[in-house]
Amino acid sequence: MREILKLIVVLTAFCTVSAFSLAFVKEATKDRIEYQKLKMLVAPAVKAVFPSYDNDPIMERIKVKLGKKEIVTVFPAKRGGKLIGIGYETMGSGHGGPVEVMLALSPEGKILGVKVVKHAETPGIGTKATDSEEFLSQFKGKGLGSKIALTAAGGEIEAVSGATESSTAITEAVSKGMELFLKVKDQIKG
Amino acid sequence: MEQEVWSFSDYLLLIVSGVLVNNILLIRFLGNCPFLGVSKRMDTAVGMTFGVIFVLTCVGPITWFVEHYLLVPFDIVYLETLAFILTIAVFVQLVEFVIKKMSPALYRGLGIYLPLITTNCCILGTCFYNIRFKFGFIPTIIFSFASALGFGLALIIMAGIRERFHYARIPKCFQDTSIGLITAGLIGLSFYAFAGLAK
Amino acid sequence: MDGGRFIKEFTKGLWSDIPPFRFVLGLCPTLACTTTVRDGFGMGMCLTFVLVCSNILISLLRKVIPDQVRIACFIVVVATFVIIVELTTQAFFYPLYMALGIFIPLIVVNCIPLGRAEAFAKKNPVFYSLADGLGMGIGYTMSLTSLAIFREIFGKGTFLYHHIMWSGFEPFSFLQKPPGAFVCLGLMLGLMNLIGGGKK
Repeated sequence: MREILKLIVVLTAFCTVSAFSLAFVKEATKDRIEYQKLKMLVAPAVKAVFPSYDNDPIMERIKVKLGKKEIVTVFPAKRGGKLIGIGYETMGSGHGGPVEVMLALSPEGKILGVKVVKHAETPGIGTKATDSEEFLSQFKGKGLGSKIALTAAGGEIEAVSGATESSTAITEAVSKGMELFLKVKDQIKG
Repeated sequence: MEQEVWSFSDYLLLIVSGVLVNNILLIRFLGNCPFLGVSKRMDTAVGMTFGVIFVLTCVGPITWFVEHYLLVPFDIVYLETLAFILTIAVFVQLVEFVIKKMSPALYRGLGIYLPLITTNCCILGTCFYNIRFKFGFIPTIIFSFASALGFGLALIIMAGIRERFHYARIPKCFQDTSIGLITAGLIGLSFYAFAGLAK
Repeated sequence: MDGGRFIKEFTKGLWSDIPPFRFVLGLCPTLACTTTVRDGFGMGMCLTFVLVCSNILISLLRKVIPDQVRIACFIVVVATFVIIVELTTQAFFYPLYMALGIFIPLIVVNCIPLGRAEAFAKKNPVFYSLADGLGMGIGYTMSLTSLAIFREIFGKGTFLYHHIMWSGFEPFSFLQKPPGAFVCLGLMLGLMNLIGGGKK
């Protein structure tokens, strides 16, 4: 009986120590791993939507809580220590599924740039909108007051012909993003 | 290979992919240590094959359960490595115990391979692939079975060839493991003929 | 503390008992992770870390581990260090982590840490177990790196991702594919036997 007890105690001790040390290492590396994963996913988009900056927006990312469950990861871009813009991801529903867009705004709420991060649009058709610099640059300069919508819906954005659904999805994403801006800005110190 | 609905032909392709196109041993590199040790004779090769097929087809789904009902809900997916290897070790230990009790004859034929199978990379590796490829429950069973089948196929082909080596004049420095590896490479090259059948 | 014995245990892993050539163990990563020098060296380092740590810990605890459950205890120890390595590479060497893929967690079933635990660490004091682990680990790293150097330079034309071959060079891409790995390793092993004057 003592034999079996000893076996159980030793094994349990091993597993407990193992579990604790692993939990510790996991906590210690969590941030860094998230940084690496994000860097792989969104670094090109972050680079594309801001004008020149000299910090590391992904490293300095801030998690902003909106409402009960929603958390938005905001990437701040700075020049000389001063905040020149914030970027975050928003989503619209496109032809093949959700379209994820990186939206960058200046502290005054003017759009600095828009870039599509992930989508499932048809190559050659929907991608005429998602990959088009011309289409995406239409959003630049628009502020909180302007109506972000396609011309067909009374707005100022011209859709890419033949890629209306994708154009709508992107516009929808940007518009949703604009709505979030004030809430997000509140929780970030300049 | 993430799919919502699997048709019969999808399963067939999965088997072809696992056994031939992406042969677990010759293409994915898993299971090499016992491969070279056990493939010298046909009878040991066949014994190991049956052992692997049995263990992997059972353990694949079991570890799938562990992942989806234990690790994911409790957000401890980083413990995957530990959880899987312990599951495999415990399973093999239980099986060894049962076989010993139930059929000493079977134990003599098969039982000695069981501890070797625990540390066989292809078992743990296939369990990882089941998760990485995001398979559902049934595809997991099929893929595990197909991988084991592929392992066995490569092993038996190898054993058949190596038994002939007794009659070949091989330079001393290439004997045994060295020529075994080169042969494995050439067999693997022939499996490339299947590339393009399935992804 | 016998310095001479320390040297002896350390150096045997570097030539006479070098894995995977003399001790035919740990073949899977040798074949899979040597397409580039960075991957081969990285894998070797990961395994060395796990091997040294587990050898030390198992040697320290060798009087406490009951014999009947020793394999289970070894597995827990090795797996713990493997997960630590996994998390650390993910955090600090992300491209390497993506390249090595499932082979980092597969270190747990790599015959080298478990094999050395069973054959050496459970019977020997910490000082020598450290030497054994370090020697085998560095030997393994050297093997992997040299195989990787060959496969990268001739199979891809690069070294550490810098192009170093002349511009008309057509890479022998067979070396980068699985069959090439087998053949390459087999030839290297044969060569080593030739130089070393036969195997044990």
